[in-house]
Amino acid sequence: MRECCLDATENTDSQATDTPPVSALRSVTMNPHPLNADRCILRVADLYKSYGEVQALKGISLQVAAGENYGLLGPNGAGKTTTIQIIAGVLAADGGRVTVCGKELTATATSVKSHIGWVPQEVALYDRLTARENLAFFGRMQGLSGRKLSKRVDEVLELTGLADRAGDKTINFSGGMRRRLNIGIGFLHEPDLLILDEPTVGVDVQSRTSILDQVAEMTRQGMAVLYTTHYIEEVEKLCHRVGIIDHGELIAEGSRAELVKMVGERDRVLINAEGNLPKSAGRIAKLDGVHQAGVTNEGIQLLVDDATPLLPRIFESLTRSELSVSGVDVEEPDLEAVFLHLTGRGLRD
Amino acid sequence: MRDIAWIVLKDLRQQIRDRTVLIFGLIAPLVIAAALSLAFGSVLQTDETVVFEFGMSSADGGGAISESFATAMAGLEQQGLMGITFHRDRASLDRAVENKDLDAGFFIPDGFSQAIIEGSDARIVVIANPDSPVVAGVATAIAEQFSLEVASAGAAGATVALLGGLSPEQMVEVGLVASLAPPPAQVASVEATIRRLDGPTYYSAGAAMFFIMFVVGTGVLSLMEERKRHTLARLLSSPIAPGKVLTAKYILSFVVGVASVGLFMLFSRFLLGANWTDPPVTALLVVTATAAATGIVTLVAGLARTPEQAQSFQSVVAVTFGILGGAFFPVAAGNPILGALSMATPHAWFLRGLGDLSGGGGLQIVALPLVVMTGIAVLTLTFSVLGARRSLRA
Repeated sequence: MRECCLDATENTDSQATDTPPVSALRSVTMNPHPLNADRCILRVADLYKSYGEVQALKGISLQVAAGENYGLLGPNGAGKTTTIQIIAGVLAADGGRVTVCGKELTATATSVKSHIGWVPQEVALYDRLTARENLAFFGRMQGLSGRKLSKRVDEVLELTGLADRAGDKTINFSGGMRRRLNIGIGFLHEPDLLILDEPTVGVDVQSRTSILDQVAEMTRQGMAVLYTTHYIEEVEKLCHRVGIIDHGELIAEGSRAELVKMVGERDRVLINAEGNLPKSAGRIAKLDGVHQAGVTNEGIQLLVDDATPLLPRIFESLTRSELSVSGVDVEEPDLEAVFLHLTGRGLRD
Repeated sequence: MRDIAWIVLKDLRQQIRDRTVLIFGLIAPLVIAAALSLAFGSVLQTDETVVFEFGMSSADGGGAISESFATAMAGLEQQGLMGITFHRDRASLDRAVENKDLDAGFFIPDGFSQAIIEGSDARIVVIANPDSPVVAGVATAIAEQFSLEVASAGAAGATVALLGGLSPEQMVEVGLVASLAPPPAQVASVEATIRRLDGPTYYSAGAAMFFIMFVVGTGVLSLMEERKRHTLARLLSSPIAPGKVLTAKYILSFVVGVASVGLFMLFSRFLLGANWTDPPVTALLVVTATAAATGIVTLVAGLARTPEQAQSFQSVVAVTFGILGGAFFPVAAGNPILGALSMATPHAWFLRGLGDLSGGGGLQIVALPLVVMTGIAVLTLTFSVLGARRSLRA
């Protein structure tokens, strides 16, 4: 384990140790937590995976240490879920290596899976069983039994706020309750590595806050957390380090501050508009001082040197393009800007 | 083993709650047995043999061969296998059939015997009501059998003629005498037939095998349901081997299958009067037949991509195997190709095992059906495990 950890520190160019405490990030839910960079829990090396002609992963490598929350950020179809499923042991990679707590994950090595807790993107519960029965069943599958199992089931029911509904069948649960139980099953057996695949998709605000709090708590307790999402605000709240994945490749990795530094002192201009967006974005991209212009679901996103003097020319270009503009925002650089800077596209194109 | 047991218990608990087990395990056996009883109970439970009433009229005017046919018919009547009345002409025969005084009639046209002796085309006319296809089939079969015997008689007579110089008419007569005399081999054949199941038991056993092919899909359908609901992926992320998940699903199918068929056989005992001799050996036949059916259904349904597709595959297999295996009627009897095909179905072996057992002899007498059904189970389960493991790894 020690050897693994030293390697990890070297390979990440001391990023883990340099990572600022969570309080330094724009986090409201996470308290500062010292990273245990000496203990590498997950090590992924050179993962490849293809689906027919489509190459989903092209050599993904990453490491996560105990007590660290690593965010895997990328648009839909970037390869996040494929990466996660291979690490969780439910999908076979075409090439590469996954090591958890020093043990290599292979098709036949099942014991290593007891170190992993996986929360799939889709809610994976038995509808006809109660919350308690679901937890007890998956707990048994993870090797828990007897008093320890009962104790953990009670604890998780409390943590997920489902203690008063423990005896209800999950088919009668709301979407948020099902999501919370889905996560609870993932950390029931107190794994060393907790993998969460977009756990807040389709969840109401209250449940989302609760889920993020739970994840922060797990990290605080020393779990290594691998968290995928395409919601930047979640990554910024929770994660100590972020890997940006696009088209099956990890294109950047580091703390939020380090990644934002890549963009420099640039502003991000968000234009909410309707019309021929690609053509307009192309036209604006040619303006001096505009570094990137990408189309998003809402309109056009720009990365510019200094927004203030540029805005009149941007408006002029928009007017010529006959776009229907409903709003313009100028923001400080963030991970969205980093993604735009690296790929020329918005995260939610 | 504990992991497997927990998965089976979890599945059973779910299926009890969504009433799958209740439907397959209790209601369906009861309903099918009751339906069979209502539909065929009075026929199946009677000890009386159905005797068809046939009529015959000949315009052949004392021809040797038409006389032989009349003699053969009279012989069958004497054995109590059928009734026969002789009519003076075709019109009278037609009327009797039309009025349903007769089930069917045979008319021998003028020059029938002479035509056969001369080797030209000669036919017995079968008259039957179109709304009685079964009777028409029986009458046609009798006429065809007689034609075959006449043909073989011609061959036998020709052989004798070569040795003794007989006339063509004497030649056919000699042949007919030889062919109509029952050969000693037929005695053994009749005895073997008696070892078969009686009506209620045969149809109950057939229905049980047909029913079992639907019940044993429980496991593979449950696996597909788990895949659809993403719980399978979650299970596979646990530290248990994929083979254990598959084994649990097979056990689920097997347990539900044995319980359902057991109950069905119990119900059929009381509702249909099925006679299950030697219960321990019968139970062994049920267990091996269920294992074989589980293997077949799991293998075929396992090729499907969705639960709905799996159910379709399962239905096709159940009906095809049911027909081939003689679950509805002994389709393979007298047809060597169907007979050979039926041997690939557990249905045929199950029915054969029960039939053999009905004459006594215990475990020893059903050894072959038990071995064959176990073989089918092992073979199909092996292939289905290999297929499923590959798909789980993907």
